[in-house]
Amino acid sequence: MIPFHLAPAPIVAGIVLLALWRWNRNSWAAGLATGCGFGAGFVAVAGFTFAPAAASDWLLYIAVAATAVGLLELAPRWVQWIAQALVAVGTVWLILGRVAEPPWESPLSRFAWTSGLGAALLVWSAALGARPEATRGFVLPAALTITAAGASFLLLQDGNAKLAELAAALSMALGVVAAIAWRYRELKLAPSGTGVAATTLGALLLCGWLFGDALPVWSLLAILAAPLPALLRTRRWWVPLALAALLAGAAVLIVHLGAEALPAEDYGYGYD
Amino acid sequence: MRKTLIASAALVFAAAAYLATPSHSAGAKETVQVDGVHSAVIFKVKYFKASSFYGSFRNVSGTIVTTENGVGSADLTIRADSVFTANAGRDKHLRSGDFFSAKEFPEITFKSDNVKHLGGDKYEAAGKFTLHGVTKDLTIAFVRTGRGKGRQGEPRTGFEGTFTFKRSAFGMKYMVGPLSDDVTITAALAAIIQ
Repeated sequence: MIPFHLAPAPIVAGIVLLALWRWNRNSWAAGLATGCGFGAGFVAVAGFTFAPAAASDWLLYIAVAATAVGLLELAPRWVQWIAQALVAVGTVWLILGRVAEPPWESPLSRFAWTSGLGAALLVWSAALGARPEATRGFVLPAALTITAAGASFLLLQDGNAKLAELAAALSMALGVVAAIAWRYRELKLAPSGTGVAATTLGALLLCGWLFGDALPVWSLLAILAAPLPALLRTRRWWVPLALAALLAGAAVLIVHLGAEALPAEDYGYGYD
Repeated sequence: MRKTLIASAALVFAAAAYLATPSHSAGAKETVQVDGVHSAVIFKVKYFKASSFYGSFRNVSGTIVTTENGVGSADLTIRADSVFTANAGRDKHLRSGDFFSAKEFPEITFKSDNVKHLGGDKYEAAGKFTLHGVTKDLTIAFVRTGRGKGRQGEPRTGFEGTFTFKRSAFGMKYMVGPLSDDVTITAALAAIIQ
């Protein structure tokens, strides 16, 4: 069995380098590499399940769909938008549908939840991929690497070790893209790679929020805001990364403090 | 002669009353309601291939119908979020998507329309076991552990059975290795005869 945290690295590096130097395809290289890297990490962590039974089993298929949308480089822009919207709403619909005792009571209420969260996921993904030319280089993938790593800590704090490992696999895939982009400054993560990263990370956090014990909303908002400083126009590359680290750290701290504030339920000894 | 007739009639009525009680009538159908408060459902896994670890579920309910000669039924439900291992952090982890995913699959069920009395105290139930959203056929051998009367005079009985399954077959694949794939469940059910 390949250790999950190493599985994405050679795949991501291989795809990006092949795409750039062999096929000369910058537009979808990072997206395909991120999707395949996450897929390799998923199989190493959770194995391959068909047909999916649990919500987390769907994450692999969600990543595949997001990666496929990233490959639509020759399609008209409106087709890409519709495909992105379908993947975002489909992701939310699939995961919400797994909640056995949902807070929504009527079909209208469920529609509102699905469309609201789907729209939020689409807006987040679109914002990260909005300026592909301005966000060339390593800052955006590095900010998303920090965000995914923060999400991993967040999910681990909330008692979801499997989701945390999957977020760590995504962080590793994005980290390899960032490392290559450090050397090859023309590499673009947006929009294909940002679509994959945003959809997969959004699905991971949604699973953690719905099926975990108590992921605070403030913590989720902080982690979703973490990669946004990479969109800032600044010559100092470390500023967006420092801000991303600050926001991701705040998200983890909020969960930690929330857990500390809960009434003690323990029985006198630790658990690890 | 009259005395003999009265004695015979009394004997017949007594025998009929005796046979009519659930525990003695041949082919009698008996329905029991599980008393969750006094029942125990425990599970066992192997920890790092070295030691056995035990946990339990604190919420079990259901109905069992037995017949002495025919075929009975069973409908048992365990709340997945009632998993208890005497450690809050571990219980939270077991409720999460890593294991039971209790918010996604809140119930563990066993439904059988084929509960057979094998003779004496022995029974066998063949049915559908649902765990983590996956349903598979399962046959459980169990015994009747006794009969008695409760504090309110209600007739009580009990059943106990043990079975083993592979959790990976039910999609619970996380940490197979450190925690064994084989899970053994023992259900010791207290029940009130209806």
